[in-house]
Amino acid sequence: MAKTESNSGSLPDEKIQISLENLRKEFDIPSGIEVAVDGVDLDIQEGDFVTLVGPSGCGKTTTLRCIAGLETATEGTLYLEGEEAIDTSPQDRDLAMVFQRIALYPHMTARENIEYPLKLAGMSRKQRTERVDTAAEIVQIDGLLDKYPGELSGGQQQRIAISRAIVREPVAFLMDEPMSDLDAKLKREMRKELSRIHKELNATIVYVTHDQEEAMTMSDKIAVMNDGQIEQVGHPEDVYRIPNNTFVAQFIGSPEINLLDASIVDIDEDRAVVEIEDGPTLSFDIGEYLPEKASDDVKLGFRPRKVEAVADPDVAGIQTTVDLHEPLGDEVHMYLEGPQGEMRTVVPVEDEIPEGDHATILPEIPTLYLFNSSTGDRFARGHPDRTGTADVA
Amino acid sequence: MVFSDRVSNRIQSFVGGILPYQERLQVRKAALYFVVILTCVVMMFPMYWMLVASVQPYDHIVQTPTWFPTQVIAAFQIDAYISVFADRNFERWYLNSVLVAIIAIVSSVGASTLAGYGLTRVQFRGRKNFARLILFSYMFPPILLAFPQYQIWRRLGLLNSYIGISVAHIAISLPFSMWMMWKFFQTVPIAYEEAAWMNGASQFHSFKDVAIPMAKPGMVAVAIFTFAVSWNDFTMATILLPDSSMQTLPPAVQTFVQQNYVYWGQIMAASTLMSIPPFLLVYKLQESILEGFRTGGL
Repeated sequence: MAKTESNSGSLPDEKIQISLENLRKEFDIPSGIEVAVDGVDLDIQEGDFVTLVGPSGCGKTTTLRCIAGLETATEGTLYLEGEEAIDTSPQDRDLAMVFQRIALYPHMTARENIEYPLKLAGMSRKQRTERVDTAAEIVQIDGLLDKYPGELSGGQQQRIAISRAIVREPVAFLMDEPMSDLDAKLKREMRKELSRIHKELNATIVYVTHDQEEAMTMSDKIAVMNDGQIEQVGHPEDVYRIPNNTFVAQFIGSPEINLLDASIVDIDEDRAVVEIEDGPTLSFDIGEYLPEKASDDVKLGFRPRKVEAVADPDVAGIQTTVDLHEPLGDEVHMYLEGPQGEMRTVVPVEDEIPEGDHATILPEIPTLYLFNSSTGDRFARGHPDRTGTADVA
Repeated sequence: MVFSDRVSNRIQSFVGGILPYQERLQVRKAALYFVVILTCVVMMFPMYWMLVASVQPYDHIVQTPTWFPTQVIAAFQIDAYISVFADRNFERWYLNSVLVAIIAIVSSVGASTLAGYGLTRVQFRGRKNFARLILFSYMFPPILLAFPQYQIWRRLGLLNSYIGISVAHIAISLPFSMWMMWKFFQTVPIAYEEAAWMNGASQFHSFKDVAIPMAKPGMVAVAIFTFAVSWNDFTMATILLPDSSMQTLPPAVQTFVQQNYVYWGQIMAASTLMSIPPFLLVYKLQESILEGFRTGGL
């Protein structure tokens, strides 16, 4: 596997553009101290599109604002292009930022908005016009330059905000949930646009979002955050396929992963036998086993898309009742009442089982995970090369 | 308009049961016009009376007040306007009032903008209490402050000076203005300034290029408020400007009332001339308030 899933995943020939070391940020609140960012380490290479993703309040925006210099870190340090920059003011960090609330200056036209950073840099009028025209072309807003932000739609405003960021050719772009105010269709469009701009400019982008789908689709690397800490960093696909712990497994992927309480009957390097609480005992080949993280009580996880669902109650497996359908054209999201409450599956529309009927669920081996039920860490997963479903003992 | 809307809605619902929908809408429209016109007549009549009295001979005003247009035109004369300028120092008082108002507006808008920005954007201990305390100082009636001010101003040699009276007006208007700008800056998202910092703007630049333009509607409101305080002030001007040549309009016009004779015509002529600047100011600045709202592109 060429891609790496660990935190220190820098390849030697790539230049590290932004580096965070043990970053910590505390806020004073009336009832004491709130730790927003709790010791974050992160290396971001030149040209990387890195997304910080996590639920609201996980510290992702605060981390970004610390990189920007809009917040002062309580502890830890930051390197920009190899130089320590923790004491540099936001003006001098040479970073560009796109905000959640678009923050175009309402009293300036689109052109004046885009040109403002160049004006501050003391560039001549002729140069400014040229640079603005180029930037406007990249985000395709050439015709809108003389309008005021109030006269433009949300998507157009966001394009102008992006061109204001790219006009200056900064060290990196910081984006703080720039699409959260756009509607779903526009979001998908801007997602493509942003990926295109990223490739065209070979820009380093640090992107913050709570939307795992946004994170998965655009990034070279995602950092899943929870409670002020980074839970896992890696290529989106790796994070999806090999989640480090139950939090990452639950946060990444839609519909949410199924997690069942279970206990180990027998486990070694090659095979695991697991008894699901109030359910059957499953045995399957494993491709990875980390005994130091293991426990007897486990959470058994499997992805909703990687299951076999059959209507026949005589087939051995996890016995459930279909509770609710969510038809999405080609496929159906089925919500099931299982031995431990709600379970989720996604099946092709021709395999759907009517609401109220019985369904037997059999997870496929490659997407089976075993998590330590007290620490949440993954310690084993199904063998990635095996096809078919787990055996029922 | 809200009140007149409600009244006309009430009238509409009163006749609502009998008439079809289209006609009900017409009744509503007619009722709305009626209420609006009535309100305007009630509001404008004193001003009309002022205008009429300023162009009538003295006898007409005190003995047989006329207001019907034809009668007014029949007795039309501008003697009162001529005599306020010819017999009195009216242009000097007018100039005094304008200058004092300008000094007060400029200082008050400048100081309250800076103060409002500072109170919202700079963290310091006791910030909230400080901001509330400001409003408290607005609660004193001017007459309470006027006598100690007279003592102080005399010592400082500020009696009968533009600066002296302007400072007194600023002292009355500034607390409320500061409070208003404090509140206003709270509604201006800091994201705009953060965006400016990320664009490389210094704190000063972000204040000048971003915060000030966005605070324009608030500044206009402060300007109008300060103008009203300064232009209408009677108490302070009476006490702090004993010299007739330095007086502002309100106390000066008061001298038109004499022991056994009241120059009604001249008072009305002076009042008419006095109401021109407020009219122009509000008319002009109202446009920029609206402009401020239009460009507030949130």
